Amino acid sequence: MIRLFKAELRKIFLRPGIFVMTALLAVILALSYFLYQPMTRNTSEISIDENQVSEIYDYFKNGNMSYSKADALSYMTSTNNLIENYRNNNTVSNVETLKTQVNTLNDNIYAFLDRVGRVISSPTGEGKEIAYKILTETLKPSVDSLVNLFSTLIDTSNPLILVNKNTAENITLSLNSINRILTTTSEPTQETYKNMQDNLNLYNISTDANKYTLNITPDIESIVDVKFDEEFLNTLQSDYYNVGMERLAVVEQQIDDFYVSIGGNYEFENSVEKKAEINELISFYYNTCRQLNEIVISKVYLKIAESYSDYEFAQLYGLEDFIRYESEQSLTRQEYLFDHNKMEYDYAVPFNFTSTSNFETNTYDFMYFVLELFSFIIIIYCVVMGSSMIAGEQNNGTLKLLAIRPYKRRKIMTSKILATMFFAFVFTLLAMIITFIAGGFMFGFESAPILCIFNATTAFEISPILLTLIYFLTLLLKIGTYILLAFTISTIFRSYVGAVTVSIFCFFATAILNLFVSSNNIIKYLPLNNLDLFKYMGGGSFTANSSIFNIFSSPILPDMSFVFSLINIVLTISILAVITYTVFKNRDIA
Amino acid sequence: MPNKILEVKNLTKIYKNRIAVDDLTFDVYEGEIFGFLGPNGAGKSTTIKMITGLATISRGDVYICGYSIKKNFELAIRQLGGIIENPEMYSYMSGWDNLKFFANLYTGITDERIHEVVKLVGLENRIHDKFKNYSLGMKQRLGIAQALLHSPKLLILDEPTNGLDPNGIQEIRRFLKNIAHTQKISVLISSHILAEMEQMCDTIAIIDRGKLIEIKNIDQIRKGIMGGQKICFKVDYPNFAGKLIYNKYKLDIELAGNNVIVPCEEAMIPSIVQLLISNRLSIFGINTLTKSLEEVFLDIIKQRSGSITIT
Ligand SMILES: Nc1ncnc2c1ncn2[C@@H]1O[C@H](COP(=O)(O)OP(=O)(O)O)[C@@H](O)[C@H]1O
Ligand SMILES: [Mg+2]
Repeated sequence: MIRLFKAELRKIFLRPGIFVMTALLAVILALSYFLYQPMTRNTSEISIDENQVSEIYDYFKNGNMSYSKADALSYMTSTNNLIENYRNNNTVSNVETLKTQVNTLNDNIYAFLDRVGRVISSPTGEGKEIAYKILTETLKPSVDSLVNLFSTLIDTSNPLILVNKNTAENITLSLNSINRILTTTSEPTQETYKNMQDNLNLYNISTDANKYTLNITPDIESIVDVKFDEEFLNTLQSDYYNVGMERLAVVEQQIDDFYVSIGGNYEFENSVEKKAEINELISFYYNTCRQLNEIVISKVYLKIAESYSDYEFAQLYGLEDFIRYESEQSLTRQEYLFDHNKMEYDYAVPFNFTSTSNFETNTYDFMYFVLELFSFIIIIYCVVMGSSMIAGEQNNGTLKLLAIRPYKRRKIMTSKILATMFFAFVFTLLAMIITFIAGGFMFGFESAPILCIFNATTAFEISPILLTLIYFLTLLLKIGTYILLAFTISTIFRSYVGAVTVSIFCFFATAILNLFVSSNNIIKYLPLNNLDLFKYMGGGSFTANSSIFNIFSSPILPDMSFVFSLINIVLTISILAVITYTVFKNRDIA
Repeated sequence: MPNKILEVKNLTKIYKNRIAVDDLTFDVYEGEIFGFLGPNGAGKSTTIKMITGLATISRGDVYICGYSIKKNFELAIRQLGGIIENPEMYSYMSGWDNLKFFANLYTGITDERIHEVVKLVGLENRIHDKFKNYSLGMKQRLGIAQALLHSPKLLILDEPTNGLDPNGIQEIRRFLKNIAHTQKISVLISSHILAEMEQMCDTIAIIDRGKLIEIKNIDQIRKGIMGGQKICFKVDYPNFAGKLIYNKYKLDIELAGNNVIVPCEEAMIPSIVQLLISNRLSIFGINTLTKSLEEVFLDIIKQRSGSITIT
């Protein structure tokens, strides 16, 4: 059997295609150098102009900063109120109340964050830009998730109808306009000034909204009462609210100390360190607020989502906007960061196509990019080769010469599959090493540790080298399954061309199905959607947002998890193996 | 009695609704060249595929050197080398690499052995050319080389002369005779052309529509033919001579010019000559007319196939 495997392997390496592969590897490497332009990551660090430092301190002294703290408190208080409310009315149907409260919460967060932004921004200069940036880019996600929650609670798959209590007048609002109302309930930002008239109209509606009752089209009977149990509420309060408040107090003290340490003299052009120090303090203050924000929102959000199946939720809100997996993943990340008193920017993100893992691109990002492209080519090549090794050899007659050797059919098949897999292994490894060295010289070898969120539930730090190894293994599993599939198809279809066509069709059919019927519950069972286990390392969901790369990596659909996919793969491999070996054993080789 | 190398027992192949091979039983002995003769579609290839384990066996079994191909596939097939239908190999590899590939599947085949086989089939000069650039004759020879690499006891060739020119056919014939008799390799060779078979086979089996019709060793066949042979007498008065012979022996006489053709054995020549001379006829010549093997086989097939019904 080992002899047969070696002989098959030797045959593979004698194929002329090997040169094409090597050439393609070089081409992809060169192409990637030009194609590879991911966004640089936002550091979440707020950069403060020297002049502003005094301003910030003045805010502190004159109670402006404490005003912002009051805001933080009021936000936390409303969370607390919400919690209390549920404690007291646990049995009452609370959907309506919850809606109002969440809306208020939303308003409060907005107001609070706006305040923070204004503290940082100076009336003139680029501070405004920064504040705006923070508001639109950094804070928006957390606000958006609240908007999502709100919209989820009211039926979003149908237009919302507001009925005037007095006049019985109806106003029909689409999802879009509701979202716009929700985002304009805070004071208009730079963005909203652009189409102010439009927004003002909506704003009026929303401020008048209390005149109307919400007439929810009762399409979703599945909307259920949300019940928060005691433990959940306690945890929220003690673990996050109290801890967060303590941390904020510490930073406030530090800012105070800092001010004393510089002797009230803000002119520190010469001291880069001092500037960095104050930057860090304020960033930390700001980010701690944000972390708390996200944790509480995510917790409430997921708690509500618990009452629905993933499928119901996807139906309620559309798959792109709510993916439980992603929400859990982000919550786990936030909790880990909060527990370790660290910020997002302390870590590199797991590999993904569209952004860099560090602030600057590095060899790992580059390697991931190249390998994903290259694995595509390896798969196609191996699929074609797999087809040629059974159907192809049967067509040209060489399989007969092979089958009259002292090896059972089972061994012939195994050697061929293993030889193909070994070839894929060698080439992937080769590509990885070459890319690693090339990438290192182009972008540098340095990388921060990576914060992996395994299966959305377990967060851990991992060195990029180790993660690369994991990536390599998952990639091999994926390629290996494709190879097995190609062998199955090539065993069933006697014609070589037919086998290649069907295999490649399977490959693309899944990608196309994913693009067009993404909300369908069935496609999560498609084996090819479960092949990429690396997406469960915390990086996969990013790629899912980019439809082009759906071809390369599949999204995490509702109900999917690492175990789900693993079982799916094991089942797929078993079924394919049984089919392949049975058919091949009883096949008359014509 | 020499060893049985191949035993085929009640071998049957049933495709969905037709019997391609019907209850075939025969043996091939050591050093024997066994001809498997039958028209196209007779079931030769199907039989060979079952013997080599390429096709599943519906009923019966095949033993190679005593090992059942069904139960002891690896041991049985180890003793066998062959070409089934076309001698196709990997076109992107050289002849040498192809041989090397097959050699690597067995233990203990050295490069020397490969060289030896290459020399045996006379491909020394072109062995490093790509297989796709070989002529059909060269492919056939490489095919035989591939089949001989592991010194099998039984060589199976399915229509090896298909598409070869007369020169090539003669070469293969000589070659096979040589290895069968010098190296004690049994050869099972199939063909639909009798002329090829009669010149090299020790035993010939005729198969038609899946059934074994006749199995004879070449000497037996020859004897059988002598019984049906004719003697030609060239005389001055053929009509008279014919009447004389008919009256005395009651044989079917044919006349052709001055020739009287008598279906009889050589042993009868003296008495017929005596009869003619005593009647004052002049004899200008006596010839033995042999009926060709081909005619005999065609006769057999014509005769038998008429009475065989395949369900
Ligand atoms: N795979 C198959 N399915 C059905 N019938 C077949 C198959 N292969 C061969 N046959 C039939 O079996 C008979 C014997 O074919 P074959 O062994 O190739 O004949 P030969 O080699 O003597 O010319 C033919 O009638 C042929 O049509
Ligand atoms: Mg044939």
